[in-house]
Amino acid sequence: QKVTVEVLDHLEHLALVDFRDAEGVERLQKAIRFADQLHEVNTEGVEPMDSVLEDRCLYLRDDDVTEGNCTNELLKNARQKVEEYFVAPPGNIPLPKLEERETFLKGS
Amino acid sequence: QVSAALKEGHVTPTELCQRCLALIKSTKFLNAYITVAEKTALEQAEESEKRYKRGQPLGVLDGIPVAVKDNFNTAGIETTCASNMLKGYISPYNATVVQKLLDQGAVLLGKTNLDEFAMGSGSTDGVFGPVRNPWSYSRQYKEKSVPKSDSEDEESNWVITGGSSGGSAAAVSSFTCFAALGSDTGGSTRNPAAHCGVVGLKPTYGLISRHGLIPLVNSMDVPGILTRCVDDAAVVLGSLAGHDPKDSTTIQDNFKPFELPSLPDVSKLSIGIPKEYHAPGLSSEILALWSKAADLFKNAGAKVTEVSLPHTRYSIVCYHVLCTAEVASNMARFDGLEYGHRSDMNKSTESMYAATRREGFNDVVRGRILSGNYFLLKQNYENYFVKAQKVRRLIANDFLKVFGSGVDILLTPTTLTDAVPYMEFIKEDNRTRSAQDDILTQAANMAGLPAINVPAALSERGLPVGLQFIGRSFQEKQLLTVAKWFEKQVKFPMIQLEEVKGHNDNVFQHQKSASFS
Repeated sequence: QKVTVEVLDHLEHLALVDFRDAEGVERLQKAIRFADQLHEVNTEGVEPMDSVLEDRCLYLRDDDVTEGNCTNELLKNARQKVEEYFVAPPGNIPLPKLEERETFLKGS
Repeated sequence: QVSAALKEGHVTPTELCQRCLALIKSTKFLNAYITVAEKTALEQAEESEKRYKRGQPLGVLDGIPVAVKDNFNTAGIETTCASNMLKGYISPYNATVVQKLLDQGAVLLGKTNLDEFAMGSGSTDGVFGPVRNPWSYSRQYKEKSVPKSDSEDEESNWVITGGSSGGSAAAVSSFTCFAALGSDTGGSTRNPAAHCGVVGLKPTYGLISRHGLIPLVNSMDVPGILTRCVDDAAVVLGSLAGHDPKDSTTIQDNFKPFELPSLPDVSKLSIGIPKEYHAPGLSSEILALWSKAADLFKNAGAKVTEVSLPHTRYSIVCYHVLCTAEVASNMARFDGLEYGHRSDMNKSTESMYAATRREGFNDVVRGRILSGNYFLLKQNYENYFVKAQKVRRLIANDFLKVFGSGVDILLTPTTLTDAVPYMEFIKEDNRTRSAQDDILTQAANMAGLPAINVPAALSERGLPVGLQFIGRSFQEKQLLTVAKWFEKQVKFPMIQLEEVKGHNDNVFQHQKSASFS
C-alpha cells in the first residue's frame, strides 16, 4: 500500500523535517517495504528486548551535585542569546497546514 | 614498539608528533581528517616529552599520536559529525574516552572524517566529502589494476574506505597515527577496518563509556578501536574500559586491563562457523579465505564446527527499524536553539526548527528520521517497532544458544567483497549500500557482543580483506587472544604507499615502527 498524503504530512509535522522531493517519499516507501520482511518471523510468545543489559541493575549514584556552574561554556555555542537565556521565536504557533506550507507534498 | 622507542629516547614525542602532522599534510588527498589540532597536539607532545625526560611517563600511551572520529566531543575542538548541523560547534567537554586517552598522555592529532552522523557504510556521505582508501595508492593495488587509458589516472580509480569510521581507518592505515577511535553501531568500525587492512575492535556493549559520543542508536552504539595490530588494540582497550558514572549503560563490574600472551594457544578452543554468514554476494575469494582460516585453526588442534544462527538474515531488517526509530528520537535534539546551525527563519519555534533541520541535515539523515517516525506512529508501533524488538531477542538468543553449546569464538567474514571503487559505490543509494554491507557485522551489535576484524590477506585486486571473530559478552581477553594468534599466522603485508604527488616517501620510510606496544 502507498502511504497517504495525510500520513506524510503528519510525519513532516512530527519530525519537523521535510521530504524535499519525490525521491524522499520513495525512500520512505522502500524503507517500509524493506521493514515488512519482519512479518515473516514468528515471534509468538517472545518478549521485546530493549537492551542487551536487561539482566543487570542500573547504576544509581548518590544525589549529590558534582559538577555544573558552566553557564558561560554552554551559552557559547548558541547563536542567539540574551543574558543567560537562549532566545527562541514565539512558540504555540503550529507549523502551517499543508496548503500553506512550503513543502513538496503540496503537489501530490 | 614505538612506546619502547619513546622510553629509551630513540625518538621524542615532539618529533613523533611533528612527523605525524607532516604526514597528515602530505596525505591530505585522502581526506581522512576534518580537523587537525596542530597547536594543541604539539603542546601535548611537549608535555609528554617533559615527562619522559623526568623518567615518569604516564604509561604505554604517553606521547602516542592518536586520532578521534568526529562524532566524539573534544573540548575546544570543533566537532561536526560531518554535518552542516554541527559546523562550528566547539565542544565544551571531552567525551569520557577522549579524556581517558588524554589522561594517559596520548597526543590528539585531530578529528577524522565519517559519514554524516555515522550513517553509512562508505564514509562517502559527509559534508566534507568522501574519504579515500590509502590502499588506492599502494603499490599492491596499482600493480593489479588494469590501466584504462593514458588520460585516466588514479584519480578516478580510488576505492572507498568503508564506513562509517572511514577517516579513522584511513588515518591508522596510512601511518598518520598509531591508534584511532571510531564508533560501531552496525559495523562502522569493523567494515572500514577490513577495507583498510587494520585491526578494528568492537567491544562488548556496556564495557566502554559512550558519554560524549554523539548517539545514533543508544542500545547498540559503542566506541570502536582501530589499530595496526591486535596487541595495540588490547592496550587501548585497557585504558578505555571500565565503569563510568556518567554513562549509566556501562556495567559496574571491575575491569582489569590485560596483556595478551606472547605465544597464544588455540588448541583447546572451539571455533564455530555460522553457516548463515555464507551470505549471497559473498565473493569467492573471501569464501576461500574463510575456509583456509578454519583449516588453520583445525590444524592447530582447535575444534572447528559448523553452527547455525537462523535469524541472521533478519538482523539487517531489524536493525533498519530499530536504528531509524532511535535516530528519529536522537536527532530531535538538533533544533538550532542551544548549539549548532540555526536558521534565520524566525516566525515561530516550530518553523525555525523545521527550517534549521531542513538546512542542516542531508538526505540520508532526513530519510532515517522520517522512516523512524513512521515506524513509531501509534498505528505502526506494535507491527514494526515492537516486532523488531522481539526479533532482536531471537537474534540475541541464537548467539546465546551457540555459545552455550560450548563454542568459544565464531569465525566469519567481515565484508562481502574487498573495497569497491568510489565511482561504483555511489551508483546505489546509502540505505541499499548499508543493507548490503552491514549484513555480516550487524548481528554482533544487535546482541551486544564483542567482535574484531583482523586483516587476513590481500585480494586479487591487491586490496585488504579481513576476517571477523565474535566472542562472548565481556570476554575480550579470549577474543583478542584468538585474534592475535590468527594475526601471527597470516602475517598480513604492510601497505607499500607509493610516492604520491611529488612528496618524499622518505616520510614513510622514517616510520620506524608500525605498532606502539
